[in-house]
Amino acid sequence: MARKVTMGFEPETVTVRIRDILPLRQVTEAVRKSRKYRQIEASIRKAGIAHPPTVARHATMKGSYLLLDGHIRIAVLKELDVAEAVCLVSLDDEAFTYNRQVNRLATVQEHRMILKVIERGVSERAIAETLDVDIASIRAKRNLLRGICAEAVEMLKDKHCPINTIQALRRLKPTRQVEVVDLMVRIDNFAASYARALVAATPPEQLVDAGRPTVLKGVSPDELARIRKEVEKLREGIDRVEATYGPDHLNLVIAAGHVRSLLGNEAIDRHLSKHRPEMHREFARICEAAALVPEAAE
Amino acid sequence: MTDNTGDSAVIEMIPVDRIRILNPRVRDRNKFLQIVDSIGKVGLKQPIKVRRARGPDGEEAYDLVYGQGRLEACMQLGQTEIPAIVTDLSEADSLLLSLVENVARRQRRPAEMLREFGALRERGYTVAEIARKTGFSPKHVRGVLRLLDAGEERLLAAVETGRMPLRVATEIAAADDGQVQQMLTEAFENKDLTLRQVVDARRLVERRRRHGKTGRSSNGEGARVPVSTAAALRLLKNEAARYRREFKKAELVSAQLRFIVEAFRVLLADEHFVTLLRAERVETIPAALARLIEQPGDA
Repeated sequence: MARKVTMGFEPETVTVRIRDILPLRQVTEAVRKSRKYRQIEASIRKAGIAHPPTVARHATMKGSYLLLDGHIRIAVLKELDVAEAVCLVSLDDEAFTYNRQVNRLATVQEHRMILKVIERGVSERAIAETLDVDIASIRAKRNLLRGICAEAVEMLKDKHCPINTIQALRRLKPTRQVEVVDLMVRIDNFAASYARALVAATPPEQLVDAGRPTVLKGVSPDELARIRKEVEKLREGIDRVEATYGPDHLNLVIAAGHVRSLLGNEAIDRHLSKHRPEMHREFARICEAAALVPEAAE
Repeated sequence: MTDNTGDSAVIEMIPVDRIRILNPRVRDRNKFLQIVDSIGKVGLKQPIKVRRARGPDGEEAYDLVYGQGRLEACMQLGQTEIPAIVTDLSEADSLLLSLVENVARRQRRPAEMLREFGALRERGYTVAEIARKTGFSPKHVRGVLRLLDAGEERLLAAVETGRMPLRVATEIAAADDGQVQQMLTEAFENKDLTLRQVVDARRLVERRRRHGKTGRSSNGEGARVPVSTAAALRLLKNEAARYRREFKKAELVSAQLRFIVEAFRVLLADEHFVTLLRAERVETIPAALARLIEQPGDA
């Protein structure tokens, strides 16, 4: 049998008076004003604390606890005038590993989760109130994947991608959806404006609603047509650059470095310039250029 | 559901094979391995939460409320039981709680997490103690502290998100612009970095040079976000033009590389030249170049 994993906490949670808990850091004004803070506050008001804060017994001050994880939760409880909280007692006083083991939910995963909660009979309104968002946003999340093809969903399933971006894809036919998502993944940019630009740069025959002309403020139809042509070539360009530039560039740095060191040897330099003058000239040129080769990414 | 303080609870050891995951999530393989490694080294730091249910066989079973990562990591480590906070919520309530747990929490930025090393040091712990507490090697802890002290937030974020090995990050922090290029090349040669990581690293070094050491990381959130569609469209056009220029450069690079490789094939077939190389004790050719020379056909 495998070695038993040690447990880093006491086998029982304890109820601790909030004033006996010493935070490791302050919850700043900026954090208090943030959307997340209000959301956590609403969820605690509606549903209580999902996850007990983690504390460690103070090494010297008996009865006091160091707060390792859950600074916002404790701040909210204080604001709500709650006197005590159920806490997990850690056997160590480091806060590092608690935070590492948090995984952010990808957009598509959140959608699936909301669907499941609704399926089990929780109303959209109850979800909206618990998460402090308006009901329209829960509906938008629920209907997130309507009109999105399975292949595009598969490519997006673990991406943290704005809802508006996914909604913009609905105007595209499935094959084009896949192309656009592929491009966003490669450029690592999921901004909604970017998705909308890619929709605008899509030829009408690849739109679901081909009859509806794309009108953009500040971009003339001629300019749009030109951009369309450029963008057509973008994917191809990325493919070609990725395939050749990277490995060749690194190899050239190594090869040119070697040539440079050979030319630095007087006897070899003399030999080459005498017996192979053309090669010698070209070597010198490459060495000079290689020293100046720009970075792959601007 | 519950009152604001939550219920004081005994943490029970429950069999992992009686736990049902209602909301399976896909996860990042690297992050998963990090969790497995961390739990294996410093132990499990948090119990999972489950709700009491009945299995199809009528026996006691559990639905997972949160902690899928820890559960799977413990199973990976061969554990048959896992500590869990057990609740008696309804299925609907536990699903809602699970949603709350996943959505209503603040996501800390990567560099913030590594700052915890600094926080531990401020509380008076030595490098060795921090290493033991967190399950990292003293060398790793020292490297992170050095980046922290130098204010290298971009590099720290790249390390935390697994985009760059710590060793490479500390070397970049210490190198000047010219050395960085050479260093990345060597790291690629020694297989410390993959090609994609080299490209990523170059981009990061460039941003760091232009915009300073602090600022948002390159994990996508910090990427340029144009406001209007028209602005984004122009960005796209520039991107296309940029790739066209890049491709021209790429063609030049390929041509030069091919020239050097061809030239060496000729030179190495020339006895006089080879003798000269030996006499000057410079006959060793870098491995990457040697491979290209030996390859049949084009470079």
